[in-house]
Amino acid sequence: MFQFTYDYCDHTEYLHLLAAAMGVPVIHKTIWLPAGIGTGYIKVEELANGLQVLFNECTVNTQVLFHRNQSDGNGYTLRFDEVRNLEALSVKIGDMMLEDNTAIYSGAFLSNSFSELEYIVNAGIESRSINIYFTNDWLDHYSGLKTAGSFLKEALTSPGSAIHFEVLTLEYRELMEEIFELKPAHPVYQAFLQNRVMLLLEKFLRGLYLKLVDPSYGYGITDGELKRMIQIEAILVKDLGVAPPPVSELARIAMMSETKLKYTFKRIYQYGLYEYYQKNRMMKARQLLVQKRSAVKEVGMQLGFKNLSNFTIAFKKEFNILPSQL
Amino acid sequence: MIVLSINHTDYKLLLRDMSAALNMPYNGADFITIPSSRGNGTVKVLQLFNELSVLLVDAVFNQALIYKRPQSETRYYVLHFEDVYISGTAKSTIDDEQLQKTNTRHFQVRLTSNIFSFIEELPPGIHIKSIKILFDEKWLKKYLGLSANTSVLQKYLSLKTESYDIEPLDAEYLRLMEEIFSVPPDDPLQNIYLQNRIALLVERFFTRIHEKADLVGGIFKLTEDEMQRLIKVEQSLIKDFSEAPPTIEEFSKMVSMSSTKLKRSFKEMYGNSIYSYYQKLRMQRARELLLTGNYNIRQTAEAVGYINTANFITAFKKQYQILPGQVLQQ
Repeated sequence: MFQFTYDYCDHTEYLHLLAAAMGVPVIHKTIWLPAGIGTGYIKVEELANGLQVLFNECTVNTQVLFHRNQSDGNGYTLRFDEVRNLEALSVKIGDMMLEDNTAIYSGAFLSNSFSELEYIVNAGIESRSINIYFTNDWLDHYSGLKTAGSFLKEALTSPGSAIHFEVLTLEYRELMEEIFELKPAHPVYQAFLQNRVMLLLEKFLRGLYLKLVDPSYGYGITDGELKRMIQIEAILVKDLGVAPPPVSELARIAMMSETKLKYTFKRIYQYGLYEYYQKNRMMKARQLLVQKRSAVKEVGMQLGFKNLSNFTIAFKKEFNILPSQL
Repeated sequence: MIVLSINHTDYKLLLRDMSAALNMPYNGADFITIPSSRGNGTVKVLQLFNELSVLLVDAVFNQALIYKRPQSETRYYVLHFEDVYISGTAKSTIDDEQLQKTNTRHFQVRLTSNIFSFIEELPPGIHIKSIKILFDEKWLKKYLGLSANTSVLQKYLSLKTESYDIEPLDAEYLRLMEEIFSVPPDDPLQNIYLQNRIALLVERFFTRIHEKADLVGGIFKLTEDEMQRLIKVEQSLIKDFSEAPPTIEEFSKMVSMSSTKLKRSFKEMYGNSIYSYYQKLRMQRARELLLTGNYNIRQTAEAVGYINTANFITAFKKQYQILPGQVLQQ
């Protein structure tokens, strides 16, 4: 087990503290996990508009526990986590909202430095995340929220509101994907990265705002149901190479009728259960192809297509180009 | 005639000068409304985080409008996104080159800089919808990582008036412009919202001119005359969706270009093949009609030239991943 306790600080400082704790160097604002902990990288980018972004793509081979101490609070972290294994990650923030042993699979949440944060990643877990760090000053001078959206700012900064959570819908994930796919050779790399990060932030703040003005906006569903939907989502995309469990099975897990499950899932994730699975499958295919790790045929097989032309057709339907054109 | 001589980088001063030219008081606000005796519409300034100055024009002036920017030492740039139906003749002069456009839809994105003097003359009574984004070398470096010496930029600017038709204002730009013009004034997130859309416009322009410059023998090699002819094709392609567009052969005759060359250069200029460009804009038009609330699905399908509503629904779903009925519910 690897344990890391730290005080709230900006991302650059955090990266150096973490590197020291892991005993690895920071090269080009990037650290690579030592073999004893896992594989993958953690990287920080400082954007021209003053935001700091930390992103990582890691697989850990031991349990990792992050503990962030409470502090007087000038900083905010907005995390977007994409975790694909059940029981992967658990988060405890003060005693708020997400109780002990509540496993978070994929989600976006905002925390500020008033609250203690505990973060556990279990062995064998593959995770990708994008964390945006900003300060009170940034909110005041940059976001324009001081005047126009003061009540939104209050909601963000009051010590009581330790956490705001959003389900990671496909729209968020597509923006994340664009960031992870971004090549350093892009002609306006900095602007592209900053714009996608800002769109993530905008979308999150928009969701938060809508919930504040209309508490029923959520989805008209309870917290418990929301958590079960997150669980269903995780099951659906757990292994994109095999067909997802039948709706009857999912309904049993979600403890609701099939009709209610279908309806609730679609309200939250905008797509039907199978459609959602299929979209994720295609996104994964694209991801594998772009990274050039595999040939079209391999990717098709990996995603459970027995017939390659079915894969090609499904891919073309989703992205309007053939897999070979990537 | 309204003459605006601009030798500063402050769009609020421009509002002041414009008010004076229109004989109306100016109270220092960030927008002016054109009085009905002088035309109609609004001109608005956005100051985004003290770094970018943006001018939004959605107006008709009863008088001719002349902008003049002299050449000067402190380098700055203006990125123009313009959708203007020109009736009469509009003239642009960059340094020693002049370009005239008569009775046409001017529908372009272009970058100008004060390396050269610049004069723009627009005839009276036309509807001008434009976004102008002003920035300096420092901003160019900081946000785009580009220096004034970047070859693509130098090459582009050296084309002077020939640069006008390199980058058409396509469906994606128009969508962003529309979002910018229609932001609700009471949206608490409008600052971030506007900034993000403006940033996406800038990002897209610079990405696209890089891509175009990278094409060996690509768009920078097309002559001005060829670009004009392609614009003619584009305009007649999307003029009326209720009827089938001309065939490639017909277009090819119309602009005296071989069909192979036409297809290739259209794709270079507009980023899409002729048919997929047509289809994209057609669906976009359908979406606009649905959003007005005045059309049901069958009427929309007809308005964009579908006899069979089911085919329309399939095509719509393909582009937007949602059904037209879901748009109606919104």
